[in-house]
Amino acid sequence: MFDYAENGGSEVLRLKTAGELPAALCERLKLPEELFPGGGRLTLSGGRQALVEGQRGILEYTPGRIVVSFGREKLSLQGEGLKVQAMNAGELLITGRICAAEWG
Amino acid sequence: MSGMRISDWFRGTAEVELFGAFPAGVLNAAAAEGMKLWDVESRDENTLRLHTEEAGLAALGRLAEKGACEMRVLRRGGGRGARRRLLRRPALLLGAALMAGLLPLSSLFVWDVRVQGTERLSRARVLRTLEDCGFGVGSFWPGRNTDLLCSEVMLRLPEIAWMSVNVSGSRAVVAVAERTEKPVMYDSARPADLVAARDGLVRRVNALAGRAAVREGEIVTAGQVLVSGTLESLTGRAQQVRARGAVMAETWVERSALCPAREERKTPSGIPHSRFALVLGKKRVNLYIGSGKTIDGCDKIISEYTLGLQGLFSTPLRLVRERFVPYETRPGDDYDPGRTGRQLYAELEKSTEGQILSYTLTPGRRGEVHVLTLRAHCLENIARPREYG
Repeated sequence: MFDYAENGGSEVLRLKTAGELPAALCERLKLPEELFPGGGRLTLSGGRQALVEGQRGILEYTPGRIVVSFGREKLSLQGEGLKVQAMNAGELLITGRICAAEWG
Repeated sequence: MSGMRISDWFRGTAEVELFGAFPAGVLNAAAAEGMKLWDVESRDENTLRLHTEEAGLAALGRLAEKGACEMRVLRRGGGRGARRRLLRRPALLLGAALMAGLLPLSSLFVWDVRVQGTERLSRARVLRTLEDCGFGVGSFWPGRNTDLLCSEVMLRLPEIAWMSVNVSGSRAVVAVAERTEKPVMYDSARPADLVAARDGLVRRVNALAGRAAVREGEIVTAGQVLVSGTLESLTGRAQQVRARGAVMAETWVERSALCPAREERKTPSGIPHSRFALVLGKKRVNLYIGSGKTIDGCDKIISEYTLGLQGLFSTPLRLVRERFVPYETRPGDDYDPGRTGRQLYAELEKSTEGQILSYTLTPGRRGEVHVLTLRAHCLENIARPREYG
């Protein structure tokens, strides 16, 4: 159990795991989540192109489905003719007809 | 993040196929090591094809081995081999070096002149005058004083109020502001009669200056004096004034609109084709055999592409594309009497200094022509000034 006290303990953040701390801090301090490592970001452009930032690797790759890992989370993109246009250590550029994106 | 660049070609690229239980794992490991990967294509669950830099092939091979995958190099491009092949063509290299050297020199000359702000004055006339003053395509612009050039052009073209010439990267932009024409001065002192603009039945005469020459209920014909500017005196000489006033009269107007009963309508047909020409400065080199005449039965669309970078520099080289779109004509009938009638009415309303009391539209046909006649009964001011002598 991690407690974060504010105003002499009047407001307390109750966290179950240490991993929840960045998200809770971002929410409380109104900061963008990508400030902390481990957060992923997906930018979709017109359903034809997706830029995935903060990726840790591809888990599954077929023309109909691409699953990308972000550590504890993963992103599943489904569509037709999906193709990895470019890839480097943290980013992925995916093109094709993107029908659905599922974050889990 | 992007695909292959020219610098990648110089470094060398390779197309690779990975085959194994989990080729995406090799891909992840390669990306984690900072390798540049692009155009990754999944052939099936166990096969991936991708492009990478030639220099990283050995490392990728090691990663593939570690990931229990088989790696096959399908194609190599650019890199050391291509550079070696390029070195075997000294003329090509010399040409490229010469071009690179001439490009900065070329920016000292004007290769494109654009004229902005002309309305009544034609662009061609401005361009011709600029050429007469020694400024045009191919001019060495650092040697020109643009203020002097503007003064010279403005002396030759009095229609221009002011102008400026801005040269940037071989492109000269000539901004022109035209002079506002002096309005015609109304001479209120010049003696004049008021005469009838058309035939009519006089209903009201308001003579503000001069002597009324007609009375209410009188029929007048076009050109007849309605209010005279000559005032006779019993004691002295006749006096001449500028007659002013309004004479309202009932008029009957007839106007007709003609429209061909048969018309040919153009519709695209066949396959369009293009031909090209190169223009170097003022010299044109046709990249086709034959004359530049328009081909019968084809629309000719001309597009010009200047070699250079937009807003940065221009070169004297232009590619001209002439696109010929074949068409055929088919008979059609687009005649709409309602629309034509509305146009006739609007025209009459615009030209009438009063009101339209009633009107009728009569359609008809004269041979191959539709005729629509508008007959209107109007109440309007028919007085118009006619100056003496």
